[in-house]
Amino acid sequence: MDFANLSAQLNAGAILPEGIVIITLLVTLVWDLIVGRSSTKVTPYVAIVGLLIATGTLFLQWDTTEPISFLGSFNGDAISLIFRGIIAISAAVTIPISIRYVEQSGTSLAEFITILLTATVGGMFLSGADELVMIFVSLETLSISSYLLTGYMKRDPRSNEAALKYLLIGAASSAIFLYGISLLYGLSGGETRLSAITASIISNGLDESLGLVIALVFVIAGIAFKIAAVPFHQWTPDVYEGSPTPVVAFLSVGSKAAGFALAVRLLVSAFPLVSDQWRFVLTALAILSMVLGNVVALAQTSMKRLLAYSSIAQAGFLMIGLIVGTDAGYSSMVFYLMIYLFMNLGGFACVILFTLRTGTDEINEYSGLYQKDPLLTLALSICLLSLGGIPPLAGFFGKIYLFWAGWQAGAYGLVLIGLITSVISIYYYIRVVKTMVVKEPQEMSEAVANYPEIQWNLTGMRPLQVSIVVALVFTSLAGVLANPLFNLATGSVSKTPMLQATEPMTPVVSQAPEQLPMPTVESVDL
Amino acid sequence: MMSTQFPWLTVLILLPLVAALPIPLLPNKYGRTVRWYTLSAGLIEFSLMLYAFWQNYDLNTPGFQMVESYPWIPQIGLNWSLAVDGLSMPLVILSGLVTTLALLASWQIKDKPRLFYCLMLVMYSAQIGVFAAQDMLLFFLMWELELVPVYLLIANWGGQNRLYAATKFILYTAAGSIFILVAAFAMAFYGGDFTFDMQALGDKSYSVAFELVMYGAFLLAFGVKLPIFPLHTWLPDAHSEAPAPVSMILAGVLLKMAGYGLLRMNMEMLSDAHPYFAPVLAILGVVNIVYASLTAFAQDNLKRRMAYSSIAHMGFVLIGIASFTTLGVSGALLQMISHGLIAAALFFLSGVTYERTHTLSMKKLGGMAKQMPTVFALFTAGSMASLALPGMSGFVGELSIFLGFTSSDAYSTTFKAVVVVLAAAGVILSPIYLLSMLRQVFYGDASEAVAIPGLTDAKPREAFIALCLLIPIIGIGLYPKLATQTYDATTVALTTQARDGLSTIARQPMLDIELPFMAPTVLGTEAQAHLVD
Amino acid sequence: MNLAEGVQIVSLGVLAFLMLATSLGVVLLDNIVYSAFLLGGVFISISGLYILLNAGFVAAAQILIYVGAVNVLILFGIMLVNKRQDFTPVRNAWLGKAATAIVCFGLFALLSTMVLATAWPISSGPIAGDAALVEIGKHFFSDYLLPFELASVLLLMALIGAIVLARREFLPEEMVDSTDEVLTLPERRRELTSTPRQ
Repeated sequence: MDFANLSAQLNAGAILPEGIVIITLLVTLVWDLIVGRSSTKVTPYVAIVGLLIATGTLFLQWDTTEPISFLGSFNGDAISLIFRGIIAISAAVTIPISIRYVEQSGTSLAEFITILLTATVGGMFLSGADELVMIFVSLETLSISSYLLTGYMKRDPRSNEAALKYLLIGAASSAIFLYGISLLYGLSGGETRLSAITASIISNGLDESLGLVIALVFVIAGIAFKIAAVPFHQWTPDVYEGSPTPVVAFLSVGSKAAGFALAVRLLVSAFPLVSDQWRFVLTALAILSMVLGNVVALAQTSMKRLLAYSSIAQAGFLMIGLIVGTDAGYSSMVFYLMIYLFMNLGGFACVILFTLRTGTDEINEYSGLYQKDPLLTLALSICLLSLGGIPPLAGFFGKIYLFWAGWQAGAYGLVLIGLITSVISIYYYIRVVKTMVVKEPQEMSEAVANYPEIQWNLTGMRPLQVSIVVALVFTSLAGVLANPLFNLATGSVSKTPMLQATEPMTPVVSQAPEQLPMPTVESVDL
Repeated sequence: MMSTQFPWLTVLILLPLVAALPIPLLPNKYGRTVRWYTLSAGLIEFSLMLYAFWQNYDLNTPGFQMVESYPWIPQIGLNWSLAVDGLSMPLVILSGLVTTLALLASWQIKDKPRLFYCLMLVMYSAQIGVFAAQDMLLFFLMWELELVPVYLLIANWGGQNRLYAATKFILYTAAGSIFILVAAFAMAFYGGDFTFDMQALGDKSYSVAFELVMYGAFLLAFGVKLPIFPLHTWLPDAHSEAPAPVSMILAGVLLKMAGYGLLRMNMEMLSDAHPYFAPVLAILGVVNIVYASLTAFAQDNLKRRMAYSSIAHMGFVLIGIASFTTLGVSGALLQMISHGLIAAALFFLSGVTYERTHTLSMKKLGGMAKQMPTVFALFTAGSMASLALPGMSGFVGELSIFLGFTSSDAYSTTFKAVVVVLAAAGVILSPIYLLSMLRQVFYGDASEAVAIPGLTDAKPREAFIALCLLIPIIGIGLYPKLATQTYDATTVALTTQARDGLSTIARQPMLDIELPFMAPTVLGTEAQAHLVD
Repeated sequence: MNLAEGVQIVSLGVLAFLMLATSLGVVLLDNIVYSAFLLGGVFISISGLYILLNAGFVAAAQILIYVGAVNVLILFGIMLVNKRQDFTPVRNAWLGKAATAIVCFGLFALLSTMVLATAWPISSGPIAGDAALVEIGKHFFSDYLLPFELASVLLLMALIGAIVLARREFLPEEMVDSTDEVLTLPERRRELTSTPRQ
């Protein structure tokens, strides 16, 4: 049997993007081995190009008709394509913002990128994993790489503490998750493919058993850890504070997106029998995340901790889309993740730049930054305001779509809590903006007063600048020119058979919006 | 059919935004280039606005004109649909005039001028957007768009307590605007067909209970902004702390956004709920007038006193909206326009005073009339307009509201009498606090703060700004048709619609709620016949 | 009940007792070396259970990997670090312990109820026995091919990560003089940051 035949049988083309990322990873590693430390001039760009090519391949697979590959291990359907794209792009944005950061700390860049790419591979496989063993292995690939990245600044006790905390809590949650899926395996009589589990459970007459509910609870605990939903969020602030900031950026976007991809696939295809229960549990988690994330963020003094709590709150908003379970709900979640990718990474890029210049991330130290670095102030303000949902920035449209979908499906309470907590969130986001913009020259912090001259020609500064500008432009314009993204998001949902077969939370109040006829002058005469 | 027409409203909304884009790239840190650039952008915008309305707006058509509609994000039903009618067109012009003059009044802004002018231009766009939006979601977007610029303008260039005032402003307004979005969602998803188009939403038939809830939601949202007692507490802080040009816009335009919202959403779209809430509006209006007038008297800060006087004046708007007569409704609109001009003038002049004396405390001021006769004259004229001296626009507005409400056949005579007497008490209070303000600030011997050598009178630029506001005030006062003709057609139609709602409910009450304070006669008879013209 | 079944039940009981006893020892003993050795006991008893279930390969893997590799590594770690530290006893520690015990027993009760209440579908196919090895191999190269291959990436990364964490860093010239700041986060610690100038 020749190779081509084999790969056609396995439909191996579906994992081509992951293959490209793995090859990039190996190239980075081997090149570093050959060239030594000076490889840092090339490796990051090789990695970025590899990730972008992988994204391009994902795009080419958009219209694929045969998504199942590797005998059911992997499902490259449209929703997985979009999540894999989000994860790949988030890695592609994380790399340029990390070059200078890693260089300045003296750690080696090539290994950093290798581990980051492995995490990306894990996340991408997790988005498409359609079978329990595959889910677990890819989840662990993502998690273990994340632990390593968290502890990358190995002489810093904070980094060590963060890594240890993350490792312990992560391992515990993995164990709980594993217990949950092993129950699923048992209940279904030895099925590991998600699509087959439900049918077997029904045929075994276990569709109302206690075991299924416990499996669900354990699985949700594992997922909630990954997306940092309250009350499984305790690791987040400490880990975010102690980790290298680029890693935090990746964890808050890439890893979170992977968690949501896992949640969608696992809950929708393996737990349709208890969909009321999981919606209920997730509703509770979403409410807790939105309220606690936003309220605790008010009291933070460190920028990284602020963003940590903000990311908890954002996870709560995102869960609205998952809970309502309509087409619009899923696509609003996907849309918000796409927007969130850029605004959050943009925010982190700005925090990194500020840290590199001044060596601090306290919010107080940002006072008066407008006088010294208007570009950084503008970019950070735009990203934060977008996270707060201020029009006409991208985040406003993302939130509107989520709330719209929630209201359409009748989740009035969730939408109201979401709205109220977004008003609270405006307060702490604008507090940072205020600190940067409003302070008079005499109130400037010491860090800003001693702000060094900008040296864009240092290694790794250009890529950082480029990614800040890209994030800034995207965050400002993606909302106003949102149509392509909207089409991508709705397309990914309508093309995915798994999501089309499920029933939404409640009977949908109204049909999908129809194109309105243009009001004419004649028709508006009273 | 629309493609042949030039999209004037889109241009009017986008022009300031586009003009704001190159500002960060302009040279000059001290603001000369920037201020001339922004001022010319504002002037171009204002003259384009006048030209567009002159050419395309037909005063005799009550409905929407200059309609434009483009799908923006069809997935959530968001359309870029704009139009103006008699309710919005005068307010668009008002915001154009006030904002352009505010730009001219920003000469003293030396700190971070580029940011200041950028934010002013964004606000310019947002105001016009609010008045012209025909899509609920677009309305909400524009409404929210104005939040952050105002916040930053107050927080950056305001007075002592600016951070507190700015934060209070943004939290109040953002919390209030939740209700707009919720109501928009609820109305859009109501029934079978989904739409955010205001026209279509107004035509939908809702159950009365639903309309009442929606009415309440809008009332809360606009009540924060208008403001209505007891949601007003942000306003004195924001207005008194804001720099003069921003106070001009805040008092001159932003409050009118709420009045416009009440007319557009509550009265026009929810006309079935309006009869139930109208007496509440009238009572709230009276409370506003009496409470704010009394409180104004106790203020020592010049701008705080004027802020409370704004609250009192917006109370009249509420009574006008509640009146169910053409005269009352058009009086409400006239009051909004006239207060926009008067408040802008007064806040500007107090800014002029502050610039020279560096205090707003009336105890410290005094005897300025000798040194600054021009400012004194202009200030007096503005105050007279504000206390509704005949011949000024304030008088016409308040008079037609009173006449409209008294002649309204929708209320019982007792209720009308109580409302009118209390509101008239407010009218009597306003000269007391305004004249005492004039006395303390301008008459008597020069106080320490004023006795600065070299205290100059108003410069020509400042006099010009004040005159630009006072001339329309006197013009409207002498010849009210100047303003009323722009919206008469619409207010007549609007009142007819509101009375329709009244008579429908009178004939077949859908809820077990007695219409409070309503005249028993009108409830039985055909309301149509009594239309007061 | 024939002899084979009797032996099975008795060995199940013995193994279960051993497992519980050793794992309690791991948790409760103060001396960490004892704990580590007892952990080996836990692993061995688990592999005994696998043998009882006719899963010879898994049992062998359990002993090879967990006892032979993981546990020995843990022991190495403990012995090499060789740091005796006396912890001051926490006040009112019994409260925390009692709460933990209650939660654990609650969870245990819930899970055992679930296990007992569920009518588990038990495979009726023939027991693979010693042929299990072949079956597992077939699975690895058919329907579990992808996770199997992905595990190799995972292992590669774990290898690299271990090296990164363990190796001595050879720093570029320009960084040697500032050894305090090398390999740490660029953010200063909170107590070192300044406050805004008044």
